[in-house]
Amino acid sequence: MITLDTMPLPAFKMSQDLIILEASEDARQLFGHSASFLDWVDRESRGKAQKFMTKQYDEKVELNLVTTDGIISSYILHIKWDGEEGTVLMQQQDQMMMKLMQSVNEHRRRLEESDMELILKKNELEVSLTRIQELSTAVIHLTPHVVLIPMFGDLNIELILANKDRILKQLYDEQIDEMIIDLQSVGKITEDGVEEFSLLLKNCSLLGATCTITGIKPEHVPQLHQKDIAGKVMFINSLKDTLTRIVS
Amino acid sequence: MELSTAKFTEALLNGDQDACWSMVQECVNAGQTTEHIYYHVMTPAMVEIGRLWQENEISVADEHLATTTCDFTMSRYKHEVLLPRIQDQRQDEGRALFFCVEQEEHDLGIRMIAQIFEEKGYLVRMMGANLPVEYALSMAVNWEPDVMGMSASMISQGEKVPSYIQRLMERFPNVELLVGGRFLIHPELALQNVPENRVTIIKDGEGLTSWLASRNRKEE
Ligand code: B12
Repeated sequence: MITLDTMPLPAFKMSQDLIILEASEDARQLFGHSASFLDWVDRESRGKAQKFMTKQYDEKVELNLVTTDGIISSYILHIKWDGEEGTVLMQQQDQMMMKLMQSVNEHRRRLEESDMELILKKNELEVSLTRIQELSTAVIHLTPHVVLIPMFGDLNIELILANKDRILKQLYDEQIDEMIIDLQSVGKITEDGVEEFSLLLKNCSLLGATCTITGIKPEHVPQLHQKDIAGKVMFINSLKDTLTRIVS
Repeated sequence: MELSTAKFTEALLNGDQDACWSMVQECVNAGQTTEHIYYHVMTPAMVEIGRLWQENEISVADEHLATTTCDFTMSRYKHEVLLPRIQDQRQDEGRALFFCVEQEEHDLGIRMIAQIFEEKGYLVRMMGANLPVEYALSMAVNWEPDVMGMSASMISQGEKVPSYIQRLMERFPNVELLVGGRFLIHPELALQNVPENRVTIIKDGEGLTSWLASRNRKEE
């Protein structure tokens, strides 16, 4: 005959009202000598024990049990009823698994936090970059139909692409006749930048605006020449003269 | 139970982060406050998870999945809703330090509270789960908080709260103490005889809202 002590897990037998009839050595070592099984159960699991450790449910139940050292552990209880007597095997929920899961969670949370922070920073940077690009090609009205666009920074394809729609829309909406682009504060001019710039100028002419470029530095000359920009626009040496013309 | 709680509970149990997030977004778009979302949508859903386990309808594994999903949703809320809201705000309402008492791992609640305080303009330090009283003391010596909030969920951890209160009150006569967490539902753990002007026991969202409001009034 199989005794409780030969079971591979802590085990006990109980009556229908949860009185312990017999308990294996392991079970007693873990939970102590008690009259009722409920004494082994965490206070907040007692209701569940009373409801589900009954004959109708004859299967398995998860409960929090309290060991003799006062530690609450989660157990799966496997129950088999034989008439009035239930035999219960007590399987501890895998603590390793739980710990692992918790530390995976912990790591995931850290990653998430730093990940999200990076994403947010990136968004912020993108916003300020667009803002800088917009400011680098701000459209300033000299008269209702004449605008000045002082460009700042490197004249590259990104700068033009980021701003051309806005500039063209403004030329169209505000029926601008004349546009003066000041390159005085431009640093490097890149090849694809100049190409895109040339397209922008062409579009401006199509919209009926005369383009004038001023503030050209000697090192910009070869690039501007290459792209046949000269054919599309007028160059002036000094912004001041043009302004006097416009204002007078 | 509100419909939204039932739906949210289901999404948590399915581990469906996207569904959880879109429900939260709906709440945000409908103008619900962080307090409302945390106290009346997420917390009841987690309590419902606890009830389903009590009713033998779900297992500990399901509970873990739900917890992880809830946790993720909270992180996302912080980053996508809260931080943008407070980005340009001065965090000058005071310094608030939060933690769970020793051996208490249930930290979802206190993390919600920490977020609410950040939104209200406090500078917040979140020490998380399981903080022995000595650490709480030394942290407070170094950081000099104006408010300290502690949380306990389990009965045996709730029993530690009075000694935390005593140690912190003795050491920091000017710090306001807040106490919250599930252990408060047990009447025998109710903290009697704590000086009301030093310690506030916060049982629900209304309690928190009125404490925050009264502190604002005091400041003015
Ligand atoms: C989710 C959960 C877990 C998660 C926790 C994850 C986490 N990181 O928090 C996991 C799965 C890890 C877990 C583990 C365990 N759990 Co558990 N868990 C729960 C469950 C289902 C929900 C808790 C929850 O998240 N609620 C939602 C939060 C947001 O609510 P809250 O904490 O009350 O917070 C709100 C307010 O109270 C307030 N608040 C909280 N703190 C503070 C502080 C201040 C200052 C203020 C102002 C407000 C405030 O803010 C929130 C706003 O709504 C409950 C069941 C239940 N009915 O609560 C069991 C429950 C709490 N767990 C229980 C147990 C026994 C355990 C374990 C021991 C099980 C085990 N053997 O492994 C371990 C213990 C770990 C430990 N040492 O702490 C028991 C406790 C029984 C008891 N005797 O007290 C419960 C009651 C389940 C049960 N019926 O048996 N659990």
